[in-house]
Amino acid sequence: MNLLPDSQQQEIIDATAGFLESEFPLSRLHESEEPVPISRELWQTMAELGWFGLGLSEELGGTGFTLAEEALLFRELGRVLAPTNVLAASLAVRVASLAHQSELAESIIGGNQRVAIAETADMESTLGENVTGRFRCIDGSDVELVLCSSAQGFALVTRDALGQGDVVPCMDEHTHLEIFDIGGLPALAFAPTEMDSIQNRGSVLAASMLVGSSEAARDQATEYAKERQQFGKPIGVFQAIKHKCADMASRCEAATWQTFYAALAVRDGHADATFQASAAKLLSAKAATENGQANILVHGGYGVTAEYDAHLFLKRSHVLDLLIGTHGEHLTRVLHEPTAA
Amino acid sequence: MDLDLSSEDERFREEVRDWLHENVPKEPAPPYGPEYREYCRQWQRTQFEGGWAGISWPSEYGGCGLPPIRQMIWHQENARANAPAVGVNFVGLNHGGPTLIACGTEEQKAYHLPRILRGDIVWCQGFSEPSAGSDLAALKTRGVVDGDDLVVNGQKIWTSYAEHADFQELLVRTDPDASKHGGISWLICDMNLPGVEVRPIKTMTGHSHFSEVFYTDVRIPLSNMVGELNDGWRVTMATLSFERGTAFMSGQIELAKVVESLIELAKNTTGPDGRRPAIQDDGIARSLGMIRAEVSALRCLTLASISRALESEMPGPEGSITKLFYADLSMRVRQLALEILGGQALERTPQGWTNEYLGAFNVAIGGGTSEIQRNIIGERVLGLPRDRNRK
Repeated sequence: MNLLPDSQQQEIIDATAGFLESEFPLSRLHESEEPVPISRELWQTMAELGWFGLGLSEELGGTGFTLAEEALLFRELGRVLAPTNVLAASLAVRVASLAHQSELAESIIGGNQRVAIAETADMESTLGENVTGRFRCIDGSDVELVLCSSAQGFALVTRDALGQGDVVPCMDEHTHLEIFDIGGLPALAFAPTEMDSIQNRGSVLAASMLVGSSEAARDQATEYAKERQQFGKPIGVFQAIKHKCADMASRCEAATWQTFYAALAVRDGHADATFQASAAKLLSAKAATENGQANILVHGGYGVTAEYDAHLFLKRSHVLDLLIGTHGEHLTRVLHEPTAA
Repeated sequence: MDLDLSSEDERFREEVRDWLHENVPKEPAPPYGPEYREYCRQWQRTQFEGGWAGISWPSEYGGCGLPPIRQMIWHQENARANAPAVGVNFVGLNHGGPTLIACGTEEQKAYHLPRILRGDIVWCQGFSEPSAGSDLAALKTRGVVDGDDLVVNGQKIWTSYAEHADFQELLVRTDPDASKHGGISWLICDMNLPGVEVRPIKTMTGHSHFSEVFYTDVRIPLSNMVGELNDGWRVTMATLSFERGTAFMSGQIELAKVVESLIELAKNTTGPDGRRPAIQDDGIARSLGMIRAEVSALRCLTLASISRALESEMPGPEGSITKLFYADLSMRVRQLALEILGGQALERTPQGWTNEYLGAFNVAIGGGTSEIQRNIIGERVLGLPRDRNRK
């Protein structure tokens, strides 16, 4: 039993962090007030890094790592507020693979088809061989595939088949939000919730991004509290600020270890996998949104300006929170599913 | 990263489970008084004779010398078997004994360690004073060298189980002219010495869990000093790292069980609408769900500490995060119990939820308040600057 990443996993973390620092600097979000889709070139590079099939076995065409390494990757993606398309692609690969659509899976792994995720927006949606209902599509302005998500599972459809949706300004100005009303569109591939624990995998990956976002907000608030001077000293000296930062750290730790534990419990098929995955999603969403709020408050007036980064973490945390199940669904699961022995 | 227990760990779990099944006392612990002390001591004796005393203590001092993962398994199985809590033996086993192991003389170790393990002697803590709580190093109780003795005068407070204790980990000021942290010594005080007076403090639960202790010309032999004269702060840091690092592990594991019984309570209590069980109330169900997720995160925090302990021996400052999270959750669990009970919460029974609610504040105060834990997290985990006016 050891929850800490081993040396090979640490290498994945370091390499990923280095790559993201140069390709996804936060400064990019100040260069445009519009969502900027990931370029084809960058998408291809990520495919070459093996990200889209990272947790898929080599015999199925993947990179051969597991959900644990995927969790580490997505934590880093969450840290730099990367778009949700990598999450969508990772799940889409598995959905295609589970539906025995190996060519489709290969095409996504190879970066030839880009993917966005669309979360159900009403109670009447149905996912199966056909897709019906209203869906909120995230970061889907320049993709070839859309992965529809609901409590029933995941269904993959082509972006072209959806036609023009209703593009709505998003709370997070860097997230492209488009609403689709879909009526009986045949799915390219469908995987029900329980199949290969697909929804739990999705919960863990979304939780990992939320963990990364909550940690980045904690680090930013802490750095600011060390530098910003008032009353002749750094504001981090004052307990009103110090304790806010300590609470941010506490929320991060709880969310991080719960998420790592969940990644391993889902990977190893434990009886409590669903409980652990939903607990991870709940704890990490709480950490990311509450740390996002605290980060703004630690920054004072600068925290509410567009020029500073603080608001970006809060906004993205609400977007990520929306993915792979509502609070209510996860709360019901953690109340009724079996816990660890 | 893995969750697998080795086959040796699994076998250990089975052995513990079998032994507890045979040996856990059938009768519940008396709530307080000399009978409680006897009950705790007898249970410790039973564990000693079964070869289970001092799970994480080094084997050269009579412990089992087992790694933290086994300690966790031990606590898990104790919780599952409804085994008695450590009770009056908490200080001796969890930080008094470990401090002697880390800093004591061979003579001190040889006398105390086997007796602690056998349940022959009970230890208590003499750190806080009326004017030195969170600011522990402001302590004033004086120790003056006179021949081969230290003559101690002063007062301690919040001493849990003082009336049951034979010995005390006692901090005294031995050099009033030295710096605040530089003039303190760590002593083993025999609680039966002339001049030691214990006055129990009745708490808001109605019981006397802790006491004031007064010292009037108490002569403590210099051979009872742990560490050097005026070097007691270093020894204290060792004591506190054990107290914050590992001492609460059993409480953290126990809390998961408390949450499950809270869910049972919500199934068996009529909810706010006066018709359906409380668990069918949306607000209560959501709160219960979140608390169940949080107690799971607490368990993961404990597992993370165990993972870190594979790489370093002394618990690090991250232990303060676990303690803070645990204290906050402990209180909220009991607050939710009151919400579920509604008006029934006013009806008090000796070991019911209302008493637990009133008793849960202790967790956020004892062993370093939650505010002190936040200072430690801010300064030693996050690297935020200290207040230079804080001496």
